[in-house]
Amino acid sequence: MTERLNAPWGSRIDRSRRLDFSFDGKPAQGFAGDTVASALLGSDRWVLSRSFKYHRPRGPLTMAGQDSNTLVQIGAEPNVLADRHPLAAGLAVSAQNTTHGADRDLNSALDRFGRFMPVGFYYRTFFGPRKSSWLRYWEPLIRKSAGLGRIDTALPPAHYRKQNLHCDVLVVGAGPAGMAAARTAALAGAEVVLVDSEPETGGALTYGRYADSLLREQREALESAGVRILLGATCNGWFADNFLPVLQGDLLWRIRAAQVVIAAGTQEQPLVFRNNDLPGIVTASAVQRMLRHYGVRPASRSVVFAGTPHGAMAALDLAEAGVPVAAVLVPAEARLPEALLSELRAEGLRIVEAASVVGAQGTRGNRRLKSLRIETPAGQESLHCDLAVIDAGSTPGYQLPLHAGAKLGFDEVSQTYSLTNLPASMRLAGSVAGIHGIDSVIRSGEIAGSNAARALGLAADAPPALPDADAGFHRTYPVPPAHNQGRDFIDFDEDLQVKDIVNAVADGYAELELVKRYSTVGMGPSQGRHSALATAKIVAEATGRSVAQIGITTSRPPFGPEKLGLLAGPQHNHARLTPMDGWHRDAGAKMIPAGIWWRPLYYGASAEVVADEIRTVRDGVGMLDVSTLGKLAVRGPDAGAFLDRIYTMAHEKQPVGRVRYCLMLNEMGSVIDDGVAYRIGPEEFYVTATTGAVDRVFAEMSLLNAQWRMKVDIQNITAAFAAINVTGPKARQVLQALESDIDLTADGFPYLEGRTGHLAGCPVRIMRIGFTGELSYELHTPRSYALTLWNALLEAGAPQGLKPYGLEASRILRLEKGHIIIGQDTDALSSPDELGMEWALSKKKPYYIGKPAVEKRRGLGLQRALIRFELSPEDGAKLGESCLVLRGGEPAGFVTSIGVSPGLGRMIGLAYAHPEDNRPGARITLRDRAGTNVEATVVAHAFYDPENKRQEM
Amino acid sequence: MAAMTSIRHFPLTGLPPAATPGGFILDRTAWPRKGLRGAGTPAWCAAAGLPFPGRVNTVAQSHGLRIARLGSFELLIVPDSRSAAIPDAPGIPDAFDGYRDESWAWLRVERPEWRDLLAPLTSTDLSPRSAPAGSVVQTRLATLDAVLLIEDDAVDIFADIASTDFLLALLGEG
Amino acid sequence: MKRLTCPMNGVRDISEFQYLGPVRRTRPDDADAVTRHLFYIENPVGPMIEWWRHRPSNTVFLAERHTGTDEIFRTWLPDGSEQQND
Repeated sequence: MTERLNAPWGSRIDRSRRLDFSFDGKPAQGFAGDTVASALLGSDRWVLSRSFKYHRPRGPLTMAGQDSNTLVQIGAEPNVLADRHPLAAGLAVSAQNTTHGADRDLNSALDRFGRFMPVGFYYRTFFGPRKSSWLRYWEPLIRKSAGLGRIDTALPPAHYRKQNLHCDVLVVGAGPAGMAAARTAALAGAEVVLVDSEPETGGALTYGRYADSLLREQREALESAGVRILLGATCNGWFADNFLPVLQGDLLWRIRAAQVVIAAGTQEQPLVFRNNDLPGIVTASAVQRMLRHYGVRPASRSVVFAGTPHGAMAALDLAEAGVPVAAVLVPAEARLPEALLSELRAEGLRIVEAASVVGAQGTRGNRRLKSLRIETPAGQESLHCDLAVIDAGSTPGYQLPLHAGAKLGFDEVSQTYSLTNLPASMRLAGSVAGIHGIDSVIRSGEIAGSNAARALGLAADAPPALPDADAGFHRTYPVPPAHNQGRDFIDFDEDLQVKDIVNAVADGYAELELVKRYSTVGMGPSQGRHSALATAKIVAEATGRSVAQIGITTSRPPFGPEKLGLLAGPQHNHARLTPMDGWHRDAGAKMIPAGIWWRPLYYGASAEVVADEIRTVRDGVGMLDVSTLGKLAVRGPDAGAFLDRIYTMAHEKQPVGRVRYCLMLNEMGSVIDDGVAYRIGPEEFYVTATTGAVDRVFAEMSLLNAQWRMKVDIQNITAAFAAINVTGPKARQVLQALESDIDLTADGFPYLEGRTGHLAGCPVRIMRIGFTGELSYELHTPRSYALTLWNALLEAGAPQGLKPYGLEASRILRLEKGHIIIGQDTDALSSPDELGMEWALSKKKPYYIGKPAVEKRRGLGLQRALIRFELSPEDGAKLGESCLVLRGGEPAGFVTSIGVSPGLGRMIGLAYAHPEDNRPGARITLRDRAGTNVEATVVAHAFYDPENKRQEM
Repeated sequence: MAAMTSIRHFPLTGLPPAATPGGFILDRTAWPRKGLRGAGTPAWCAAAGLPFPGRVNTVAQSHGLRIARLGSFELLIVPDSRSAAIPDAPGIPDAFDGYRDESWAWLRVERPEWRDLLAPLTSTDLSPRSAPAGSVVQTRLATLDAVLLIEDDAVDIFADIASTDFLLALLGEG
Repeated sequence: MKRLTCPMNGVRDISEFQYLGPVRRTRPDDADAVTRHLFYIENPVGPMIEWWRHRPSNTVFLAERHTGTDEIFRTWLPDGSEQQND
């Protein structure tokens, strides 16, 4: 490790604590307080990674996580920003995108073949030699070399946290402007949260050429104001109504702020010249961070390009730290304050006026900068140096304002940026607003904070703006024409050069958005931070327009990378359980998710038990937990009239005690739900709906009643009641074995009626319905009684062989009766006519939802019909749901339900087919999953007990 | 542990407080409570001798009961102790039972930092400024619709009873 | 994430709400009006009055929202004057 500069340089490192780590397998050392990058620089290691396309060596550029040159792999974690990641003992750091570590990458040979990889070559290469070449050869080859880091798929899951936070004012950026805004708003009484991705407040005050006392004063003022400060926290986007995610390690803060102040600073821009990507070429603030934060001696000989006062101050810092400065280049367009120039001269530094940088040269393999070639009116000159500090101006931190709808504008005269069209609740402070002189920066923060406080109704003074002492000294620099030897990069992430953009335009892509997509400029990890401006300038020049006409860029969240773990939802999946859930599991049921509920599929180790369950129901008695069934309480004087308008059958005059089928259509006349309505009293209905549709039906009913304003109350009581379907020829005997106040005889309780009372001490509503085709009683009891009733039934039913059965058996049982299941046998276009359910459509009612559409669709003629078919299980062995029905070789429909009926020994199913084929005995053609056509026979409605004698006993 | 002869079973009954995260979540699902809805609820309250809160999302107190107004005509009446009797007023037209003793689980978080426990689960502002004691907050906790009765050092959570396991897991995640 | 003000419960994140569609001026029992409404409805850029539902409290209410800027001008409870017929 090279020696660090003495204190006070290196404010963040603790020289008494050395930390050992490794880079590319070789031992390395640093201090506590270092980042991985500063520790490596401290050992004079500059090459950290290899570039994406040409595999050129890359090193730190911004030292602030604003470039992607420092992306490294640390242990199992890929793509870590080495200039942000704190150093810890034992870190195993390695370079990415290279064959043999940072120093030796065999793929760097690609750098010499650049001419074969022009812009957009991805779209025009890799087509041959054969049609299959892409998938068989090129794609696997490219996949192996693509990507930056390596993912360890065996990594155990990590833990992430979320926190919701509300505040009055969120200030993004804790530099001088942000600190001033935060304390001003807080002192006025606002709840303020201040966020910065650095580990300390202060921003540029911590690394720039400012008096120490200034930082101390600003921090003290902030402390006493009572601001909540989040450090190491990156604000990663702006979303509607000031909703901003802030990422802090493994914690995601979801912040809702009434007012937002953006004090996010600026992004220094690179200069475009040949080989401008060499390790050793850095920005002005980068070298200041190296010196002041980490005490790193960055070079043996440096050159500074001072396009604005920042560069000049970096030169003075280098001189003060004892680093030789060979020259300070001042470009012709630059304007520097006279006082600053005097200081440079007083230091004895050579100032080269009207200088521009033509190119750079690197050491062997381009591993480090070796010299800079400059041009002045006097001619060209080579300057030996291993550090080039480039200050070519900056763009404001535009990302968050652009997320919020602001516009980034560019002024041709001053060659500077501005942000306009901010939302009313967002304010800018500091250099992001184009203010640079420190006093006016702090004042701009106070103004923003005070304005934010007053917007909240708090009392705060409105201090006047201070004139910017640095006004006019800050600007950006033009992009020179493409260098004839290339390697003048405008996008370091994607290895794009000036001529690549020029060629994109020449290839016909004249709009910025198209250039971006064609060339991939701005699509790398830096997300256009260093390339957007240059690209806009090149496209403007190439198409004869101004940058303002081109537009510069849009920006959308996220601002920076965010781990999927931070965004992931709750660790537990939302599951709804019936009261018998524990019983089912203890009884060995195979449970399956049915939407958000869990239900038993069958009770046993394998599906072979299903046939037994079916037989139990057909020959004896079985019971099914149907607690997930939707249930609605519809009560009030208009309850019947309301249901009349919602459903297709007649309910207003439905007699008390009667149970009636409910069919619900939408306005298009398509079937959307079904169930039964049990009239408990003149003004009370108990209505069931399918498990999957009840929430939607309830919302629709709520909306409709808000419009109709009938005297009816509708409540979704699905979870309040459990339901058990006791079904089979012996069902009545089981119920009669229980203590009850209900007359359960066949005459006393006929089919399609309901009764309210008690069974086994549990309050119940019982309905006689016909889903399975056997004698059935659907018992509804309040949820807390369900287990008691379930157990009582089991006990009472034991002599009859009562057993529970699951969904799979239920499916076959209803299929044997030809009953449809909403959502399985219906789709968005299924009309009652297609389903053969004209009988459910009241002819007398003047209105129900969908009535006009039903009638109109009749006029269009029937396109398809749901038919029942059967064939031998052998012929249908490879049939399944969605298999096509063919007619004349063309698809005419598809299978919606299919299964083997153990009782009939046949494969039975429902399918959409041509209406002309909907006649018993007709033959239809189905194409099975093996691609073979099989024939099936159409049957009338039910396969089993077509006269419904068994369910009506 | 609920006795085998007990006729009513509630999801968490019998779980000792230690089994619930932090030991400070009290399961009151088995406690009596009454939901009321329909245009007749003000008349019902008058007949039952209970106050009808003047504003929606506020709670009135009376005789060991809290009467929370959830909507124009929807109430939730909860006792402060298990034995507090909830009066009835039968025969009032358009005053319907809301089945709240069956459709909702009731968990009470009794600790001054309850807001910290709930903060990761909802982005609704639960600060004392926005949700003062005596108020009702109807919001979503993770994906669950919930009704919260706010007190200074405690909160009562009412949510779908079929999702009780999930709710408990969410509260434990924090 | 956008916020919406439920007239009963106050400001909430939009994830608590369900969108129920624009307020219709239609005769639901007239097949031609229904057809026109379902398939040929205008979709102008500008303020639109819509039905929304706050899920936790099942509050059904109205909002006036600009379909271009997504700005919500106001929300209010229905009072029966919204159902308008041709």
